[in-house]
Amino acid sequence: MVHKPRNSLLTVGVNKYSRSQVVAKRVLYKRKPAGAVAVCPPAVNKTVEVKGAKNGGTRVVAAAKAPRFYAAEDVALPKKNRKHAGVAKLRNTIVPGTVLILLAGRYRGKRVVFLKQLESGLLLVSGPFKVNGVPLKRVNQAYVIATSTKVELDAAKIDAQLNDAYFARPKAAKKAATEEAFFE
Amino acid sequence: MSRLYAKGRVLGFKRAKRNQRPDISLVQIEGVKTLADTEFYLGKRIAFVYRAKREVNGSKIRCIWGRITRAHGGSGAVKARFRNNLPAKSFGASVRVMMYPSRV
Repeated sequence: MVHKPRNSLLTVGVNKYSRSQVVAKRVLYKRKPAGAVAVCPPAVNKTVEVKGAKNGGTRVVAAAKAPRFYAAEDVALPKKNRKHAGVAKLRNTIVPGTVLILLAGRYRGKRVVFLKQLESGLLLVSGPFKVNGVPLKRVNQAYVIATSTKVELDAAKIDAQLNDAYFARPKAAKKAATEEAFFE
Repeated sequence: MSRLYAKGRVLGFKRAKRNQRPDISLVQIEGVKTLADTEFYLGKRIAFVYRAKREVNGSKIRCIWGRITRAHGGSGAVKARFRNNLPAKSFGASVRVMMYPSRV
Protein backbone atom coordinates (compact mmCIF):
# COMPACT_ATOMS: atom_id res chain seq x y z
CA MET A 1 0.00 0.00 0.00
CA VAL A 2 1.31 3.38 -0.98
CA HIS A 3 1.44 6.05 1.70
CA LYS A 4 4.03 8.51 2.89
CA PRO A 5 7.37 6.84 3.70
CA ARG A 6 7.63 5.64 7.28
CA ASN A 7 11.36 6.21 7.44
CA SER A 8 13.85 8.76 6.21
CA LEU A 9 17.59 9.12 5.81
CA LEU A 10 19.66 11.16 8.21
CA THR A 11 22.90 10.44 6.39
CA VAL A 12 24.16 7.66 4.24
CA GLY A 13 23.42 4.39 5.98
CA VAL A 14 21.73 5.98 8.97
CA ASN A 15 17.96 6.02 9.09
CA LYS A 16 15.88 8.16 11.34
CA TYR A 17 13.89 5.24 12.76
CA SER A 18 15.19 1.84 13.72
CA ARG A 19 13.79 -1.33 12.30
CA SER A 20 11.51 -1.99 15.25
CA GLN A 21 10.40 1.61 15.35
CA VAL A 22 9.35 1.45 11.74
CA VAL A 23 7.38 -1.69 12.41
CA ALA A 24 5.73 -0.07 15.41
CA LYS A 25 4.59 2.75 13.15
CA ARG A 26 2.26 0.37 11.44
CA VAL A 27 0.06 0.69 14.55
CA LEU A 28 -1.01 -2.89 14.37
CA TYR A 29 -2.46 -2.80 17.86
CA LYS A 30 -5.18 -0.47 16.60
CA ARG A 31 -6.00 -2.48 13.51
CA LYS A 32 -8.36 -5.42 13.63
CA PRO A 33 -7.75 -8.39 11.42
CA ALA A 34 -10.35 -8.76 8.66
CA GLY A 35 -11.62 -11.91 10.33
CA ALA A 36 -9.98 -15.25 10.02
CA VAL A 37 -11.37 -16.89 6.92
CA ALA A 38 -12.06 -20.51 7.61
CA VAL A 39 -9.93 -22.35 5.09
CA CYS A 40 -10.72 -25.98 4.63
CA PRO A 41 -7.45 -27.81 4.13
CA PRO A 42 -7.46 -29.37 0.69
CA ALA A 43 -8.54 -32.99 0.74
CA VAL A 44 -5.50 -35.21 0.86
CA ASN A 45 -7.20 -38.35 -0.35
CA LYS A 46 -10.27 -39.01 -2.37
CA THR A 47 -12.29 -42.11 -2.82
CA VAL A 48 -12.56 -43.41 -6.35
CA GLU A 49 -14.95 -46.02 -7.58
CA VAL A 50 -13.28 -48.65 -9.64
CA LYS A 51 -15.42 -50.06 -12.42
CA GLY A 52 -15.29 -53.56 -13.71
CA ALA A 53 -16.79 -56.65 -12.33
CA LYS A 54 -13.54 -58.19 -11.25
CA ASN A 55 -12.03 -55.02 -9.74
CA GLY A 56 -15.13 -53.73 -8.02
CA GLY A 57 -15.26 -51.60 -4.96
CA THR A 58 -13.56 -48.36 -4.09
CA ARG A 59 -10.01 -47.23 -3.69
CA VAL A 60 -8.59 -44.40 -1.65
CA VAL A 61 -6.34 -42.41 -3.93
CA ALA A 62 -4.31 -39.22 -3.48
CA ALA A 63 -6.42 -36.24 -4.54
CA ALA A 64 -3.51 -34.61 -6.37
CA LYS A 65 -1.49 -36.94 -8.57
CA ALA A 66 2.24 -37.02 -7.91
CA PRO A 67 4.18 -35.86 -10.96
CA ARG A 68 5.71 -38.53 -13.15
CA PHE A 69 8.87 -36.56 -13.72
CA TYR A 70 11.03 -34.48 -11.43
CA ALA A 71 13.60 -32.21 -13.05
CA ALA A 72 17.18 -32.85 -11.92
CA GLU A 73 17.90 -29.14 -11.54
CA ASP A 74 15.69 -26.23 -10.65
CA VAL A 75 14.90 -24.15 -13.68
CA ALA A 76 14.50 -20.44 -13.07
CA LEU A 77 11.08 -19.19 -14.09
CA PRO A 78 10.88 -15.79 -15.73
CA LYS A 79 9.25 -13.14 -13.58
CA LYS A 80 5.61 -12.44 -14.29
CA ASN A 81 5.02 -9.21 -16.13
CA ARG A 82 2.71 -6.98 -14.15
CA LYS A 83 2.83 -4.01 -16.45
CA HIS A 84 -0.17 -3.21 -18.62
CA ALA A 85 -0.27 -0.48 -21.22
CA GLY A 86 -3.12 1.93 -20.57
CA VAL A 87 -5.87 2.59 -23.11
CA ALA A 88 -4.91 5.36 -25.55
CA LYS A 89 -6.75 8.59 -24.93
CA LEU A 90 -8.90 9.65 -27.84
CA ARG A 91 -7.60 12.74 -29.61
CA ASN A 92 -9.98 15.68 -29.21
CA THR A 93 -10.11 16.07 -32.99
CA ILE A 94 -11.66 12.61 -33.29
CA VAL A 95 -15.35 12.62 -32.55
CA PRO A 96 -18.00 10.09 -33.65
CA GLY A 97 -18.76 10.98 -37.23
CA THR A 98 -15.34 12.38 -38.05
CA VAL A 99 -13.96 11.42 -41.43
CA LEU A 100 -10.55 9.82 -40.96
CA ILE A 101 -7.82 9.05 -43.46
CA LEU A 102 -6.23 5.65 -43.03
CA LEU A 103 -2.46 5.87 -43.26
CA ALA A 104 -1.44 2.24 -43.38
CA GLY A 105 -2.75 -1.20 -44.00
CA ARG A 106 -4.76 -2.67 -46.85
CA TYR A 107 -7.03 0.38 -46.99
CA ARG A 108 -4.36 3.04 -46.77
CA GLY A 109 -5.41 6.33 -48.25
CA LYS A 110 -9.11 5.62 -47.84
CA ARG A 111 -11.31 8.05 -46.07
CA VAL A 112 -13.55 6.40 -43.52
CA VAL A 113 -16.06 7.39 -40.89
CA PHE A 114 -15.21 7.04 -37.22
CA LEU A 115 -17.92 5.30 -35.22
CA LYS A 116 -16.65 4.83 -31.69
CA GLN A 117 -13.66 3.95 -29.57
CA LEU A 118 -13.60 0.38 -28.30
CA GLU A 119 -12.52 -0.70 -24.83
CA SER A 120 -9.08 -1.69 -26.07
CA GLY A 121 -8.54 1.86 -27.31
CA LEU A 122 -8.81 1.00 -30.98
CA LEU A 123 -11.15 3.00 -33.16
CA LEU A 124 -14.16 1.33 -34.74
CA VAL A 125 -14.36 2.59 -38.28
CA SER A 126 -16.39 1.92 -41.40
CA GLY A 127 -16.14 3.03 -45.05
CA PRO A 128 -19.14 2.84 -45.12
CA PHE A 129 -18.67 -0.38 -47.04
CA LYS A 130 -21.13 0.53 -49.78
CA VAL A 131 -19.35 3.79 -50.39
CA ASN A 132 -15.71 2.79 -50.62
CA GLY A 133 -15.41 -0.87 -49.75
CA VAL A 134 -13.88 -0.40 -46.33
CA PRO A 135 -15.68 -2.79 -43.97
CA LEU A 136 -16.27 -2.37 -40.27
CA LYS A 137 -12.81 -2.54 -38.87
CA ARG A 138 -10.66 -1.55 -35.95
CA VAL A 139 -7.87 0.90 -36.42
CA ASN A 140 -5.22 2.31 -34.15
CA GLN A 141 -5.41 6.04 -33.54
CA ALA A 142 -1.77 6.51 -34.47
CA TYR A 143 -2.41 5.28 -38.01
CA VAL A 144 -5.14 7.75 -38.77
CA ILE A 145 -5.41 11.43 -39.67
CA ALA A 146 -8.53 13.15 -38.46
CA THR A 147 -10.00 15.57 -40.97
CA SER A 148 -12.20 18.46 -40.03
CA THR A 149 -15.08 16.93 -41.98
CA LYS A 150 -17.77 15.47 -39.78
CA VAL A 151 -20.71 13.31 -40.67
CA GLU A 152 -23.83 13.35 -38.56
CA LEU A 153 -24.02 10.13 -36.62
CA ASP A 154 -26.57 8.91 -34.16
CA ALA A 155 -24.34 7.34 -31.53
CA ALA A 156 -27.17 5.22 -30.21
CA LYS A 157 -27.40 3.35 -33.51
CA ILE A 158 -24.03 1.64 -33.13
CA ASP A 159 -24.77 -1.90 -32.08
CA ALA A 160 -23.45 -2.73 -28.62
CA GLN A 161 -22.41 -6.10 -30.02
CA LEU A 162 -19.60 -4.39 -31.89
CA ASN A 163 -16.80 -4.64 -29.38
CA ASP A 164 -13.34 -6.16 -29.21
CA ALA A 165 -14.76 -9.65 -28.66
CA TYR A 166 -16.61 -9.33 -31.99
CA PHE A 167 -13.29 -8.92 -33.75
CA ALA A 168 -11.45 -11.64 -31.88
CA ARG A 169 -10.10 -14.44 -34.04
CA PRO A 170 -12.10 -17.66 -33.71
CA LYS A 171 -10.01 -20.19 -31.84
CA ALA A 172 -9.10 -23.15 -34.05
CA ALA A 173 -11.15 -26.06 -32.83
CA LYS A 174 -8.92 -28.81 -31.49
CA LYS A 175 -9.26 -31.81 -33.71
CA ALA A 176 -9.96 -34.92 -31.70
CA ALA A 177 -7.07 -37.26 -32.35
CA THR A 178 -8.49 -40.11 -34.31
CA GLU A 179 -6.60 -43.14 -35.48
CA GLU A 180 -7.18 -42.23 -39.10
CA ALA A 181 -5.93 -38.71 -38.62
CA PHE A 182 -2.85 -40.08 -36.96
CA PHE A 183 -1.90 -42.09 -40.01
CA GLU A 184 -2.85 -39.43 -42.56
CA MET B 1 -3.33 5.95 -54.91
CA SER B 2 -1.44 8.93 -53.68
CA ARG B 3 1.90 8.86 -52.03
CA LEU B 4 1.32 8.53 -48.29
CA TYR B 5 4.81 9.55 -47.27
CA ALA B 6 7.05 12.57 -47.45
CA LYS B 7 10.21 12.30 -49.47
CA GLY B 8 13.51 12.56 -47.70
CA ARG B 9 17.17 12.19 -48.46
CA VAL B 10 19.86 10.59 -46.37
CA LEU B 11 22.57 13.14 -45.79
CA GLY B 12 25.00 11.00 -43.90
CA PHE B 13 25.75 9.82 -40.43
CA LYS B 14 25.81 11.92 -37.32
CA ARG B 15 29.34 13.17 -37.23
CA ALA B 16 31.90 15.62 -36.06
CA LYS B 17 34.61 16.77 -38.43
CA ARG B 18 36.67 13.63 -38.26
CA ASN B 19 34.55 11.01 -36.51
CA GLN B 20 31.14 9.71 -37.40
CA ARG B 21 28.54 7.80 -35.41
CA PRO B 22 26.74 5.42 -37.76
CA ASP B 23 23.89 4.61 -35.37
CA ILE B 24 22.18 7.90 -36.17
CA SER B 25 21.58 9.13 -39.70
CA LEU B 26 20.82 12.63 -40.83
CA VAL B 27 17.84 13.08 -43.10
CA GLN B 28 16.64 16.07 -45.09
CA ILE B 29 12.89 16.09 -45.67
CA GLU B 30 11.57 17.77 -48.80
CA GLY B 31 9.94 21.07 -48.01
CA VAL B 32 11.09 21.21 -44.43
CA LYS B 33 13.35 24.19 -44.11
CA THR B 34 13.26 25.41 -40.54
CA LEU B 35 13.56 23.98 -37.07
CA ALA B 36 9.92 24.81 -36.37
CA ASP B 37 8.80 22.80 -39.40
CA THR B 38 10.50 19.65 -38.13
CA GLU B 39 8.22 19.41 -35.11
CA PHE B 40 5.53 17.67 -37.13
CA TYR B 41 7.92 14.94 -38.21
CA LEU B 42 9.32 13.99 -34.84
CA GLY B 43 8.51 10.38 -34.04
CA LYS B 44 7.39 9.58 -37.54
CA ARG B 45 8.57 6.32 -38.98
CA ILE B 46 11.00 6.24 -41.84
CA ALA B 47 11.56 3.52 -44.38
CA PHE B 48 14.74 3.17 -46.38
CA VAL B 49 13.70 1.05 -49.33
CA TYR B 50 16.27 -0.57 -51.54
CA ARG B 51 16.65 -3.35 -54.06
CA ALA B 52 18.85 -6.38 -53.85
CA LYS B 53 19.77 -9.18 -56.20
CA ARG B 54 18.72 -12.07 -54.00
CA GLU B 55 15.09 -12.70 -53.31
CA VAL B 56 14.08 -12.77 -49.67
CA ASN B 57 10.57 -13.82 -48.65
CA GLY B 58 9.42 -13.58 -52.24
CA SER B 59 10.71 -10.09 -52.97
CA LYS B 60 13.86 -8.40 -54.22
CA ILE B 61 12.89 -5.19 -52.48
CA ARG B 62 14.05 -4.73 -48.93
CA CYS B 63 13.43 -2.13 -46.30
CA ILE B 64 15.09 -0.78 -43.19
CA TRP B 65 12.67 0.85 -40.79
CA GLY B 66 13.51 3.65 -38.43
CA ARG B 67 12.11 6.65 -36.64
CA ILE B 68 12.84 10.35 -36.64
CA THR B 69 14.20 11.13 -33.23
CA ARG B 70 15.04 14.84 -33.19
CA ALA B 71 15.87 17.85 -35.26
CA HIS B 72 19.36 18.52 -36.51
CA GLY B 73 20.50 22.07 -36.82
CA GLY B 74 18.25 24.99 -37.62
CA SER B 75 17.46 24.39 -41.28
CA GLY B 76 15.05 21.48 -41.15
CA ALA B 77 17.38 18.50 -41.13
CA VAL B 78 16.47 15.70 -38.84
CA LYS B 79 18.16 12.82 -37.01
CA ALA B 80 16.83 9.35 -37.42
CA ARG B 81 17.58 6.05 -35.81
CA PHE B 82 17.03 2.87 -37.74
CA ARG B 83 16.53 -0.68 -36.58
CA ASN B 84 19.77 -1.54 -38.22
CA ASN B 85 22.21 1.19 -39.11
CA LEU B 86 21.90 2.45 -42.64
CA PRO B 87 24.62 1.32 -45.01
CA ALA B 88 26.93 4.11 -46.15
CA LYS B 89 25.72 3.34 -49.66
CA SER B 90 22.51 5.09 -48.69
CA PHE B 91 24.02 8.58 -48.57
CA GLY B 92 22.10 10.69 -51.01
CA ALA B 93 19.45 8.02 -51.42
CA SER B 94 15.73 8.60 -50.96
CA VAL B 95 13.97 7.70 -47.82
CA ARG B 96 10.24 7.55 -47.14
CA VAL B 97 8.99 9.52 -44.16
CA MET B 98 5.65 7.98 -43.31
CA MET B 99 2.85 9.98 -41.78
CA TYR B 100 2.38 7.65 -38.86
CA PRO B 101 2.38 7.59 -35.81
CA SER B 102 0.05 10.47 -36.38
CA ARG B 103 -0.69 13.10 -33.80
CA VAL B 104 -3.13 15.07 -35.96
